[in-house]
Amino acid sequence: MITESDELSACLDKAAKLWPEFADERAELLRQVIAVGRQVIETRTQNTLNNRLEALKRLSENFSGTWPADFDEQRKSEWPD
Amino acid sequence: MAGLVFDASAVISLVDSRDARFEWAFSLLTIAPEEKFYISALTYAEVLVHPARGKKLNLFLRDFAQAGFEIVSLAEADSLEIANVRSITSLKTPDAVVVALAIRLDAAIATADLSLAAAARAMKIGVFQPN
Repeated sequence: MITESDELSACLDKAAKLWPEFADERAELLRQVIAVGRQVIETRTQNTLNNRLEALKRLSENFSGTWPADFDEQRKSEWPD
Repeated sequence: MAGLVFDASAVISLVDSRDARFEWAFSLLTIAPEEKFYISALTYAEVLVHPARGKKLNLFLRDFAQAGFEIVSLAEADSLEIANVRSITSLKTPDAVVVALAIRLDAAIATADLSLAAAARAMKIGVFQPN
């Protein structure tokens, strides 16, 4: 038994059209919705990671060797203790 | 933890494959793929100097943004935190800025700098650093 808000209720009504075999099982419909949501989250996380990796690969290709080996020492020497 | 604040050493390690800590920095992506990556506007300025000298600033800006870094401006309240960090540690201002930002965002710090890592740990801030 689940307490349904208006939003959840509308969502489960739509879900019942996607999974008619569970039309009379609101808890099972909710499980299906959660499974789809989890898949979307995982896909988005993977896409974010892939975009980061591609951008960093380009940075690495274009900028490796741009900073001197003693960059940290140089930048710190510019500031007083 | 709500993300990672990068200092300049960690950023350089991440984008310069000749850096000895490149593999460590890259591993941060897989350790925390869903975490937000932050860099202070001051740290960003430090990092940008050499791409600017090489006349490749726009190329760097585009790819750095696509790498998912959020550039965070300093606010008035950060001035107090930076001064506080400076008063209780031996950190210089750029490193104190990194610590202050981590405190504000409740984030951990990614750094290859030993003194910054030690000071942050002493202040109970999470630290990712090379072994």
